[in-house]
Amino acid sequence: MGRKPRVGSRAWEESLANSPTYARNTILDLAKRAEGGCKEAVEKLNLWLEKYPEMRSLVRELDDLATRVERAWVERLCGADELARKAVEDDLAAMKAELLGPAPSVADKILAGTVLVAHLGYQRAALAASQPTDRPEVRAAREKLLSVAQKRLQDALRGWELHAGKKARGLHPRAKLKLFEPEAVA
Amino acid sequence: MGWERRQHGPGTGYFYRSVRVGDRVTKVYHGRGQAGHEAAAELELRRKCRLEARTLLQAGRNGADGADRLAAELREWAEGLLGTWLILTGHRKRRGQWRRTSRG
Repeated sequence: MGRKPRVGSRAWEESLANSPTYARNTILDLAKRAEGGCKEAVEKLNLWLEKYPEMRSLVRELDDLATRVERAWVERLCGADELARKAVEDDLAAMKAELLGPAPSVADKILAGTVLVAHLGYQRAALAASQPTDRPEVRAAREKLLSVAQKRLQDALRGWELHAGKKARGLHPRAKLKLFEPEAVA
Repeated sequence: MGWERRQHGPGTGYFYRSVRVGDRVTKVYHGRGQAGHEAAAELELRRKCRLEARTLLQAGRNGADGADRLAAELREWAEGLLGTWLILTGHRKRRGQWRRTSRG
């Protein structure tokens, strides 16, 4: 077994980029700050991603996350009802094919995943809100949850449309980043 | 609010309900008979409804189970990756809107 690199050394810094947690925190933190208008964060984000364009473990983890979320929501919606599960899975597969195309990047999968999950969440909330109840407080709570689910679906669609629209106009990051590069078709 | 016993009253007590009138809280007497029991049952039902509604809302807000937590994580990533992609392609956020400011 190889020795662990000394904390603070160059090798240690390199090893951090391979840690999904560190990469996650760095990207999300810098993106949030950059979005808020911090120029330093924009520069750091550019530098960091140019320095570590691969981040294979993070890419793998994100790929896995999109699948896990979808599975958990199908399970939640359908339980042991195999027929319902088949119908929901077919519905999701059709939506995914429409959204993603043949060679999506991991970022595409994550963005499409939020649309799919928001769609399932909205269906679930709509079903709950349509159940009869003679309790006004419960009805009000269900309606509130329905409007939260509706807003999430709108946000997810807006994000997806923004990204897809810009990509369709030919925009792409200068550096080749694994996160945003289409995966090789098998 | 509830069943209150009096020194020389019956063992079950009398049912009172607290009602706010302006800035004062007063007690409304419902007695110990059928009216008292009905008022107590109605209040109990309303309490259960409020609790159920609160539990529903809390579950929706905090993420009741693994599926909710995973969905929240996915949303966070989607937001982060979209922001990163837009920044790398020369966009900046101004007043909640992404605007292209350079060639990326």
